[in-house]
Amino acid sequence: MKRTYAVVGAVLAASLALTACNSGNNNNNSGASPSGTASASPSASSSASSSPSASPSASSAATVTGSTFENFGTYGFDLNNSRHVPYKEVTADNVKDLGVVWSADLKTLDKDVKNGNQSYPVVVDGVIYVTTSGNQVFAFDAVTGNQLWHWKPPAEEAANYSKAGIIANRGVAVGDGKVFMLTIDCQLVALDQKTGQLVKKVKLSDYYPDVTMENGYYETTAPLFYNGVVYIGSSGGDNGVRGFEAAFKSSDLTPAWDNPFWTVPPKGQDWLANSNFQGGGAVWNPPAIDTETGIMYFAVGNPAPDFYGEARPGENPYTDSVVAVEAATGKLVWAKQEISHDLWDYDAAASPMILNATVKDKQQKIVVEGGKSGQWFAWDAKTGDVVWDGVPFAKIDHPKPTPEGVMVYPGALGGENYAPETYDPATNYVLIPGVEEGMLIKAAKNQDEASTPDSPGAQAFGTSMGETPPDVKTYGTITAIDVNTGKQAYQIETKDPQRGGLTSTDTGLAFFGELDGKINALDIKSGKVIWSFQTAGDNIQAAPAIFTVDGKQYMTFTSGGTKPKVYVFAIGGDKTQGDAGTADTSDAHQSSDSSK
Amino acid sequence: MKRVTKSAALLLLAAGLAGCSGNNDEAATSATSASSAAATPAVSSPAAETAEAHLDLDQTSYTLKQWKNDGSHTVTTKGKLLLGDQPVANAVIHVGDSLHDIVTGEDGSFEILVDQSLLSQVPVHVVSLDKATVGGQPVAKDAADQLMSASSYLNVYYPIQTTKAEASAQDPNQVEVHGKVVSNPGDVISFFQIDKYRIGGIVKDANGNPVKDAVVWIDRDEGEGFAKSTPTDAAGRYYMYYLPEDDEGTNLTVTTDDGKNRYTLPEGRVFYIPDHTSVDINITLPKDGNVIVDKPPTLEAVTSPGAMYTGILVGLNVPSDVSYSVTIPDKEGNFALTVPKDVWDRNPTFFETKMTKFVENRTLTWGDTLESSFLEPGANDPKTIEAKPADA
Repeated sequence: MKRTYAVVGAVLAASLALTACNSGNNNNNSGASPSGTASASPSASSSASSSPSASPSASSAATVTGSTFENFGTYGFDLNNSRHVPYKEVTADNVKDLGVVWSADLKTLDKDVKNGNQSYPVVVDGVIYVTTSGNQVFAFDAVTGNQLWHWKPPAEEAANYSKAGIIANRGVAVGDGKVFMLTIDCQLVALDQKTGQLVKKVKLSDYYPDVTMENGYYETTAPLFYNGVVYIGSSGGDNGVRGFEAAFKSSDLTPAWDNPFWTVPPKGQDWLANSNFQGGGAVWNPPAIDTETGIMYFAVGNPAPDFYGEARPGENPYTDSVVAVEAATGKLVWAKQEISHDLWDYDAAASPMILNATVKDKQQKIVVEGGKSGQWFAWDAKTGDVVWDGVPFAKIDHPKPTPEGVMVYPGALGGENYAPETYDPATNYVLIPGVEEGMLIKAAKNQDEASTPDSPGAQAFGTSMGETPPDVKTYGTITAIDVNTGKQAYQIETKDPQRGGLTSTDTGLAFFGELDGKINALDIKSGKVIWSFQTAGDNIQAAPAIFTVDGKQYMTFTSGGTKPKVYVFAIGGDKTQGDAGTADTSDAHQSSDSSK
Repeated sequence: MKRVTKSAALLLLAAGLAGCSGNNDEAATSATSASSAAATPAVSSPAAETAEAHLDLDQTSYTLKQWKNDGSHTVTTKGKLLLGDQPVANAVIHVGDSLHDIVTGEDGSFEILVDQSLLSQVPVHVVSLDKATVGGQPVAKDAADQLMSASSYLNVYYPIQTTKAEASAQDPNQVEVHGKVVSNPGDVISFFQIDKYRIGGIVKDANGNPVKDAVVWIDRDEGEGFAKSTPTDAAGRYYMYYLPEDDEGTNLTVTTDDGKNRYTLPEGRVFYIPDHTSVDINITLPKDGNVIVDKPPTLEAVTSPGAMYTGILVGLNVPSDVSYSVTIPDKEGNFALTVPKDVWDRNPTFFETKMTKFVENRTLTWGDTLESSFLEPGANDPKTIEAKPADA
């Protein structure tokens, strides 16, 4: 695909207009606001728009197709992470007419793209931003697939990514005229939104010296942009690092909080008084932010070592928890734990979601999260008071691990892994993407065995995650929880574990991919899959983003496996299907990158 | 509350005290009375013709409070930036090395979220007045100079008690002081102890010459986990530190030229690193190709002495030419100090540090004696801790 650039002056003018829009829009939503009724009226775009759409003159000069845009501007569509879009063009009646508008093979575009893509696309003003395993970023014209720009990290840095084990990346944040991404080796990158030129790249260790790959940290999460701040989580909990959530100013990538929010005590204190490890507690995915209260919510992963708990007595806060902090300062508001003293690698991995829902027949603002434990939780957003306490959505049977090994359900992949839920207000259902994959787990005999040749504590699995025995059936589920009653409305089975997540529309459809490369539509009310399309790729391991250009509804998503691709679907697209793909159901802790 | 004026701040610096401004005494054994006293004469100094700059904090000294589930180890302290009695709005303040911009409000006030679970002594200071106003006007140059030099300190430390101080039986010129690092009930302080071991060694080229700026990586054969060495020095020597562990195969990679050249063990071969000891792995790179011949002399491993220690130590805040000795605190925090009598009589303050150090020539445990030259407090460690008698 060829690279095209607009007349530079016109692009600059457009970006100035964007900036003005963004700043006026901050307390409404993220700068890249997904809502956008006003933006449909071009004349209103520079003042009243709640979407940072370009003014007509600017957009006609730019190469991006279209003049009015409704965005999927942030990881979870909105800062509540609802993943529910208000678009209505695609319905149960016409979903069969969806087809491929364009697709691109990312490895063809750049041979250094790695396998195992898990990127959640973000779409702003007709431009799709996707990342790849190995931390490349592509910007595409959403309608034509024209590659607008491409960024790849320096080769000498990328050469060491594979040391982290996982080299997937879950996407970008867009705001303040920039595109933000975290690299495997713990750097925060800001690219110019229009050109893809590097604006700034900082090592997290410049601010927090311990946060290095050498110490077992890495980064896979998408950042989140809100109100001039880029929020980031952390990977490496299983390596025995000290997990954190941190905040940086989008203007210059300097810290926006006095300190990171550390999810576990410093080594040597509290439940880590006698531990060789830093405790774990990664923050695998972006937070949800309540723009009315300024409270943000993020999910915290498991304690380290994963399967050996003798040297970490007690409940191990705030591991396997949802934590609420002030978005402006990082100060704790409340924390609620899903699994106390976890011995099974039961992260709270997926991003929490904020709902304004009918709960027990009353309107209530709640925060919900489904864990790798196979349980789903809801808390009052303000107080953290328990609303629904561990509603099961998977087989649950997990004895204490022994050195000989025990079968545990869910296995270490969940439950609900990193894949996000969606919320449909019409039915008041939350849809949970589930994994059913029991696993044989062996405990370490002692702390030494739980540890590893690392500095200061990488790989603290303690000791091994076993294979899934061949006679254990592995499959996926989608569970609808009625938020009003806290009970399952239904659960459907899918051929392979659900590793991507769901995105729903106002017409009662929920779209989700599968590991064999199919993209499906679920009728939310009935629980029936009413459309299924075999793409030419395989291993769709991220949820779709749905948006409009000039009033037409599009859906984009990425596939992973060995054929990382990006797709755009719409009504009237090409209905030629691909060959059935092969699911890669391997450990989420290992990349699917066979080329590393 | 006592305000530290510009001249007082200079006095504090001259006195070598990492001073603290206004000190509300929740941390009972705070180190600040000395600095307050130092500030006193300055108030009556004749320098105060024009309005003086004050950077005031409600509280500057905090008892180290270990990490707690309820988040009570983080606490908000309020401060104010004033020029005379007038608030300074929109000034930018930094805490220590943190680059987080804290901007003063219209009333000159600001807030800092203090992490009380980590030892620290950090300055709070003005870094920018570009957008600052006083009474709605930009800050004049003289006033700006004053404001830029206004500062205070935040201190977080474990209180120290002295239980006994008596002349040494061996040497009447020395005093033996018995003290205790005090923690909150139920807290366990992690004092200096073995944390991990060292992998070191020398990287040479095929001609036997040391290779500079090579990096040695080790990573688990069966799973995640890796360690990266320091770049080799001119002698080809590298270091990295790791946790003890049981038998497991390790992949060994050497990179040179900024990662452009990578040398590995032969296909299918892994290295077994012995546990519970430090080790030297000496590597000779091949003349051709990129496979390291995995037998001596091109790959040899020998155990080596020493271990990496980490944990809390205490010492005296005295000039480096003063020699004294101090024991590693025991499990309860008790320690003993032997110090020249004339030094002790001048009421030196204590420092606390969480030190990490490789100790090669001996094995240390709680209660062992360390010479003062062993101790190296960090730049941001608390150094002005006043010990209080246990019965006070």
